[in-house]
Amino acid sequence: MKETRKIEFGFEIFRIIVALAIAYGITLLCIMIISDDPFQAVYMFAVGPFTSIRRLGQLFGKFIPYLLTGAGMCFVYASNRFNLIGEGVYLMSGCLVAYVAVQLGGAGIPHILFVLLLLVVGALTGALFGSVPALLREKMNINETVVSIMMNWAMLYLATYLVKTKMYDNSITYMASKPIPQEARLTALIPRTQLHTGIFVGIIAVAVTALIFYRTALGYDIRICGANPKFAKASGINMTATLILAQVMGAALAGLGGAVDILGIYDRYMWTALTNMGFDGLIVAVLSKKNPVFIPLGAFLLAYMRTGASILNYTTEIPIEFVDIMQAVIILLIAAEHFLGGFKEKLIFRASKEKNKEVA
Amino acid sequence: MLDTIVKFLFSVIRVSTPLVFGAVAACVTRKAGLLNLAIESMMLASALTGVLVSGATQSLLLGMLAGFAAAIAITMIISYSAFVLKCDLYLVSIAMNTALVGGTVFVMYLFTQQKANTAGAIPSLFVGSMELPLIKNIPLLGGILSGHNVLTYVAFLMVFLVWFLLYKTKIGLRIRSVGENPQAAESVGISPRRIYFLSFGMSGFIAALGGMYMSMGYLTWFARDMIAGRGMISMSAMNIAVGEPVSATLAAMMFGTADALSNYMQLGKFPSELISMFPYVCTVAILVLMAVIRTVKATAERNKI
Repeated sequence: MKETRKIEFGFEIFRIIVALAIAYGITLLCIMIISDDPFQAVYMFAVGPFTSIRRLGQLFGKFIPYLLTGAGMCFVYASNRFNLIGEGVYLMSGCLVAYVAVQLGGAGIPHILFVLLLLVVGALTGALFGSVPALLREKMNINETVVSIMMNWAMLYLATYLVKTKMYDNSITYMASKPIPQEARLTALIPRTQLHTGIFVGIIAVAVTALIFYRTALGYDIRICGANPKFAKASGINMTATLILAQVMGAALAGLGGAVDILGIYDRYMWTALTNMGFDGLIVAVLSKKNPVFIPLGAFLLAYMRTGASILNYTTEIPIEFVDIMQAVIILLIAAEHFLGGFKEKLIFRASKEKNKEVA
Repeated sequence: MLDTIVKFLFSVIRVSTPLVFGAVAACVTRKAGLLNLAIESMMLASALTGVLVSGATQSLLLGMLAGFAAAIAITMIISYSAFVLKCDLYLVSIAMNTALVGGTVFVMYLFTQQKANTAGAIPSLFVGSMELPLIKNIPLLGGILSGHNVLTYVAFLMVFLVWFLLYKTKIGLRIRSVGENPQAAESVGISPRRIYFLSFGMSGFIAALGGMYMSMGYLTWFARDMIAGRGMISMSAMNIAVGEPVSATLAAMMFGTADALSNYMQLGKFPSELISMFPYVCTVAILVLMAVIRTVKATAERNKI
């Protein structure tokens, strides 16, 4: 039995590596086809993110929110609910955090306190909006995917409406809020890069998520509810409460992500389209196989790919969008239970056969 | 005044057309018991392919065939990953949507070196509009119903065809029986997996018409992200109607009205965002209402016993 589990674990890692290799191969092929100078382009994509401090900072600017949305979506994905509210909550939380920051700016609140307050605002926004699909699903049995997708679009328009009516800055030509006061913004760890103090928030969030998952009864309940609902019910776990809590906590983390991102990188609230951050969080959760310990790895990988693509986008003519295809391939191959499944079964079969021989 | 109303109702039908296609496409898979979240990607694929191929071959027929093929190819990838490789269907569908939003821009760039739209870069063909004989002579009604794109009439024909398919044919019966209870259907020799592939394929075919209406009728070029949530709105129209093609069409028309209204309101001072929010908020509200009715009914039944 132990042998089987060992093979399964090793196999998971092998499969993720194969999936990444295939996706990377396809991407490199795409770049080769489209570019006039393929070697330069591939170099930019693969090594580009590490060639200057500024670019490395750019990578971390993406890595930080991915930690938070990744941890959030890990809660949701592990409880086997397909709740995509993280997307809209991220945007809404950014909007409300910017609003509160602008309103309270100049009131003389000390930096640390101000930031903490704003982070709480972000997390609460997430929890509040996130509770809607969670409650509707667990109490009234309404499909959470449909509700969350509908709410994402509604929140996008609501945020745009708020910016236009309550926060609009007349002194600039594009649509954005008034500037976020300096004392509310997260300080850069390396000056003039996007690596800011939000990274500590991200690391703490991932650590707490991992602790909840593997060191508390709640985490155990969430994992059981997700992996085997019938068993969870039979063993007397309060499924309704557990699943609501998991989804609300996931949304709160996504909201925290939005708050950290807006305070760390932007000087105004200016999102007028869905940020795709919630979905990226889901990709991180898929990459880390519902295990919070691997979230930093998944987040780094995605941030690296995205940064490489954006460098390619502004150093050459290649459009950034090819990464979207690469992402889909990765998700497909990693989430597909039966991809290389026959190979795994063969390995387990062979191992058990050998064991039988030993016994005999 | 009367003239404005006629113009407005005309634009309601015009704007609703892709939603009707999408809603009906979603009905087919819903009746097989599957939620189709990937209509967005099917529409995008066919919209771009239709433009590219019709531009290259200068044949509308080839262009449309290629559009169908592209959308059906997408459904086959989704079906294969979900039903053979056992990937989560929702996850695949959403991944496919984002992949296609980016992927279509990438392919468009490959062929035109443009990242925004194909206008001017590709001499693509489009489906023309049609005057309805007799009806066009009726005052008011003629102005509303006549002179639409041919695909608009196809959309309303499609509603009837899908209704007929689902309720009056053997295939439809099989689709519905798999949707009701896959195990029971399997026990009488119907392969649910085959039905899933089939219903997704048909869904792709219908959604392709919606996509091509967008790029070869409503507009005459492909623009990045041109479906812009229409697939999602049509999916929710279907959802409100629990997969009934006719009611789904009515729901799609209602959302189309909201869309047309927000287009008009952008000219005035009223914040158009609030109207744009309407279809989404409305869907959630109706879903809640339906759930409440369901619970009330269930309690009443239980009390009777």
